[in-house]
Amino acid sequence: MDLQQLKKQLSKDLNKASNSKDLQDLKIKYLGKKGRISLLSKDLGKLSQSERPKAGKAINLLKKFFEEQSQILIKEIEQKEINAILETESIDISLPVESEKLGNLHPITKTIDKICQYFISRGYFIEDGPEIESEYFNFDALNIPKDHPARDMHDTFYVDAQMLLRTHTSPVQIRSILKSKAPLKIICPGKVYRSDADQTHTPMFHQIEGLLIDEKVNFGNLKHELTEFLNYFFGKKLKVRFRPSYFPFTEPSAEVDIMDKKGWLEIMGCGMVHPNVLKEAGVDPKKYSGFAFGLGIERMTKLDYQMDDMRLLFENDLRLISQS
Amino acid sequence: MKILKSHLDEKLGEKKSVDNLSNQLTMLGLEVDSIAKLKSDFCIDIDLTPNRGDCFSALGVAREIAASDQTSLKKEKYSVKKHGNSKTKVLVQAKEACPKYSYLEISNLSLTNSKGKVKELPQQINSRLEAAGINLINPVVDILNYVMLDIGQPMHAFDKNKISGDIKVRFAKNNEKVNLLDDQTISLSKDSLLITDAKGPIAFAGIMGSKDSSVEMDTSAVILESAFFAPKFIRGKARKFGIQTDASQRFERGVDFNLQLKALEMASALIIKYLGGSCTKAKEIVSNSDLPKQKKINLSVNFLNQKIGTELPIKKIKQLLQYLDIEIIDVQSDLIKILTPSHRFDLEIQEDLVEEIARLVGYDNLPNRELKTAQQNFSKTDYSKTLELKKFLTHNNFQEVINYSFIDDGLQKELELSKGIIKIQNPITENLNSMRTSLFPGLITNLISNAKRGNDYLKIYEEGKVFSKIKSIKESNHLAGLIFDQEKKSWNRSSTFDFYSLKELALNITKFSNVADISLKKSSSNLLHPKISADIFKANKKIGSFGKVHPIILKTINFKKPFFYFEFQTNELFNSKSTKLVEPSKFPSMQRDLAFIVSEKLDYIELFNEITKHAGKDLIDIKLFDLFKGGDLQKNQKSLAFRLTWQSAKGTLEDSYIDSAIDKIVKNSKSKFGAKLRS
Repeated sequence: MDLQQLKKQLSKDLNKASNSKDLQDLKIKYLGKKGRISLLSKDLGKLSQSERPKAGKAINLLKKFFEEQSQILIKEIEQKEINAILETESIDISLPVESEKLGNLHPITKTIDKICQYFISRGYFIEDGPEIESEYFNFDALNIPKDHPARDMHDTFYVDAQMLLRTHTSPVQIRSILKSKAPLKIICPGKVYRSDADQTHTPMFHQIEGLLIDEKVNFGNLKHELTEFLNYFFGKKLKVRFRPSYFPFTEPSAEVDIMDKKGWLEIMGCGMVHPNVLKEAGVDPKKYSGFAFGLGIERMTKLDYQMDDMRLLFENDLRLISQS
Repeated sequence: MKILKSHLDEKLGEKKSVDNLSNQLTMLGLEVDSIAKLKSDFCIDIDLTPNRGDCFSALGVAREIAASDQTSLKKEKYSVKKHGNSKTKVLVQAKEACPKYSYLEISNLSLTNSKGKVKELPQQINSRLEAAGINLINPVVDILNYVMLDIGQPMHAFDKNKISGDIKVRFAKNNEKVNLLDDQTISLSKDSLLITDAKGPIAFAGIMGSKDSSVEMDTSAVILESAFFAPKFIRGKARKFGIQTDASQRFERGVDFNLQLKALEMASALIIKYLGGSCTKAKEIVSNSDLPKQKKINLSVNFLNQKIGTELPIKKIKQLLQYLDIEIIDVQSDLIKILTPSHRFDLEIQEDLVEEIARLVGYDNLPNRELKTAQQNFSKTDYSKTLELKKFLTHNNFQEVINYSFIDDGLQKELELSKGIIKIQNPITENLNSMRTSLFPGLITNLISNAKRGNDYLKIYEEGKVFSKIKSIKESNHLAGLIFDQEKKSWNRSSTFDFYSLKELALNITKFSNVADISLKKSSSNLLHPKISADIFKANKKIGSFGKVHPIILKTINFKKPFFYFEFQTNELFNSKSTKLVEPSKFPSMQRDLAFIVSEKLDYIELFNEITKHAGKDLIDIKLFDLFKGGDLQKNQKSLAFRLTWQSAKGTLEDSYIDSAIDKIVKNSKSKFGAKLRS
């Protein structure tokens, strides 16, 4: 058979091939051990010295033709086969997926953490203290002796004659100083209790106490620290004012207000630690001074989440608290 | 305290705008709570802090404003002609409680006019009293109340004709009774102070007068009392009987001890002016050693400037102090020696004076200074460890809840959670009367209320303290969760939360926390189903439990559908180990599958323990990949299929090593449990 005919046959076969198996078969038919092109190569030996190069070249061209054509064909076939797979694997991506409801931290926890993260970054250590507290730590050690009118401001729950549910996180001030001595930088988030219930009061609520004791700490430091904190919390530069107030355990004492849409809004109480408190905890007030502050978490949560009724925070209606 | 703006204007001798006045008061520490417009006037409500009893009058409030304006108040003078001395004798026996008792007598006065109608006081007095929330009683009482509102001295009037014999100021006898003006009779204790006459108590001193001695419309002679009662003998007394009077509020915070005669002067002048009559000279019984002292305080200028970050010169400080009626006795270089005024009970130490100066300068005018102090937080706190746990649960789709720490003791009893229960002596309501001993009651309350709203799928948790008292009070932090799954599943999610889902979660919590040496035992908790629950142990210590809630609990709380619960001691989950990273083995691992047929009654863990015991130290994983019952198995049999994986860090394991391990496993399982290999 001459080469021209073989080439024609080959082209015809290639045209008929429609999948990778057909192509494999053709490869065997032409280039296999007994393939038709292979046999031609074997017959080259029978040719004369002068005919051999020409015939060899022709066979090589034929081989090359086969390779090129099959390469093209492979690509087409693969494309076809992938298209077929894609066709069978098609799904309805519009079907709904009802995933599990995502869990969430309680808004109070989020607010506490937002505050804690700031003070952690400023080097404060987070402390904890008992919620059932003695009268001594809750009042006496904080310069609030028995029958002091300031005790009237705290509607205290008692569990027995000496023990009560702490009315503020301030007892942790004393406990921390006794434990760690000065200098000291702590904050303490936690639950506190007062016998009071209305739209803005719940008998249990949360506070964060802050305390810093070092040498030569002054009122300006307190103002700076809290102003910066409030700017951080509300995410903008705020108008902040400090005004005189009274806490038995600080002197001078202040309330901090921020300018809200409706006017000044009371945010937190603070002051320079009263020397009696330092003395009670065994710190020399001549060497050290410090400041303390306390703020109500519920109030901050209400502001941050723009809600009105504080009581809702403890009803644990998942429709509400899962929004935060 | 409520006060009319016009009243303050009068004292200041100038009219300020109400906004300026209110802002000025607030910035001085006398927080203005609200302002109500009244015709041409304003009623200003000031939230007084308990240390500022001296501001409990128009005079006191105006004094603050004048100091801040650096001016002085308008002087007012009352004078009245006096005739002779009072014939009534007063004996002060309780000198420590009543260091000063001043009084005078007014006779021939009349509360009514010739037509028998009550005489009227000027509208100004009445409206000032009404604005302050002080009820109008009769002209004598109203005048005395007005004196109190104006200058801060609480006074009392006795109808002279109802008094017999000498007046005594003494402590009550135990259970001594006094019939008060408001018609209640109270029984006193020994530390209560009384004013008495020959017949018995005529007033609960400094708090309220008695009915029997009170001034009425036909009264024609009165004894006016103007005393200084020591705050500590008044504090808490009125409150004890649930009464609080304008007088007691002032006495317990401290009344100016130099004010008594001035008050008598003003009151008698007004009474004679509006009700007629004539008065005696005032008598004053004073025990100087029991009177409070004006305190001497040394103020260091350096100390002051350091504390508030200012550089005020000594001259300026002296000036400011004087505007506050603080007397300067002496100045020695840096030290200003002062004497506190008799109306200020809150000035005791140097820091108190620092606050006074800071107030007058204005807190807002004090400089802000950044503070450079060292980092104090080196170790991970319990706070952040707890937060990590909370976040772990949140990532497992649990919603955090926060419940009150106090709950109904009845519920705790019903749930058998009342061991060591701590009761609150004065609960706000009866259903919040005991401290929780477990987080369970709170969580089931949340379940019930949310299920009522149609919620049929709920995963909630709480982290918080539980309380008990066995010998002493104990608080410990718990982490508990509740899972309720009655949801109709959607087309792509079919599995319902079951015990094994809970077990996976509970173990994942311990893995997340890196707690080592964990084992499980059937739970002993009363709350949990005895067959479908487990306690978790860390070494030999129980750190938590989990399981399906006991059917009896469902009955107790009247909840029809089952749910799951877990509770851990938070602190036991704190990851204290530092993790060491181990290089993975470079050598190939070997796997073999083994299926055993055993009795259905045999617990998995028994067979598991036997296999791991004999599999050799290079066993790195064992997985139960199939659990099968029925089919060609006998009724009381089950098939457990394990995939075992071995790998050594030291070299490639030989087949013979694995074969001999399997041999041992099979032999021992057979002899111990009659386990047969499934072909």
